[in-house]
Amino acid sequence: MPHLEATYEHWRPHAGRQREDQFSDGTLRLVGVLWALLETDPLILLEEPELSLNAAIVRQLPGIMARLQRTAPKQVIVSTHSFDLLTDRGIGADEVLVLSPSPEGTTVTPANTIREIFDLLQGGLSLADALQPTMTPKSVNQLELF
Amino acid sequence: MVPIPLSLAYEDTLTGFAIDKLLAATGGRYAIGGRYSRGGVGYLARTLPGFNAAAKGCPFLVIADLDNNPCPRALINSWLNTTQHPNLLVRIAVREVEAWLIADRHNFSQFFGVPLARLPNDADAINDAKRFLVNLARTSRFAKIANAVAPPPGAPRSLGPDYNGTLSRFVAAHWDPHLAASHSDSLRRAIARLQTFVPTW
Repeated sequence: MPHLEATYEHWRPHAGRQREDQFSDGTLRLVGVLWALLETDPLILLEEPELSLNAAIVRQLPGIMARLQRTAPKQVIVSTHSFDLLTDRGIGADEVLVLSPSPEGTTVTPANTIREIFDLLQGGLSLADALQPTMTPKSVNQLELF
Repeated sequence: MVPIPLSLAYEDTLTGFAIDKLLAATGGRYAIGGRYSRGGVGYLARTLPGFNAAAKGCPFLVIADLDNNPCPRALINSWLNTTQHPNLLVRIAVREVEAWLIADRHNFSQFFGVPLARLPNDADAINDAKRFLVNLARTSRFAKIANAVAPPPGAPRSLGPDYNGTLSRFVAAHWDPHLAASHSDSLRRAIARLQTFVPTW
């Protein structure tokens, strides 16, 4: 049973209404993420919140999460592949864990303990630029040969 | 011999394939680490100081196109504005990486189906290698190459629909950097540097 409704503006004086089953994926995702962040649960896990969202909106997400800490404080754990999300200069390398798949399982490394990433940040790179290779699938260029 | 660790930074996927072949041509001297690439030369201009800083921990190889700039050294200096660390290798393709591909005249002529005589002896002298390559491909005896690499006549774009894929396949399967080096001085010097480089720790 749909329970979200929005009106949209167009040439007709009494604009049409849309129900959630007519919303775009991005709109639904954004409503869902904001809703979850406003809940009073002490911990929230967001799996790739960037999915379906416009890149310009994704770049705003870290700031929104920080602002909502004031009204609904909680620990937020985000998994992401998003370069855009990590362009926010308010995210520190000490807040990022790099997950690397290996034959023995996934290795978890704090980003600020990886020498190359630490040096790149010292050299002025953004976190997004410094982490880009770790977010890129190893053999992605093989798709070009497909 | 223990391979030298090397992180890479480049403009696009095609250059990435060319670097893989260059490094393979040095006989496995290198173990490739991170691959930094986000499309376009603006990215390298922005990130080069960071790679310079990180070069003290792990050598970096950066490959960029000279494009319309007059001088490779001046281009590097304009991005770096600090002392270049000895472990930061920057090689500039004159004027574009496409020229390095055309420089392997024999294999290029075979793969792209164009006469050898139309390929210059000095690939570094080609002014706009992308356009030169697209115009050549348009006359290919293989319709598949022409349609993939060159846009249809009158189309408002400069490259064909599978330009990158076609060139990448050529590089991965056919391009021989050693053959190409005899027709591109910037490539010959890049290979020589990679064959002799010893990191400073």
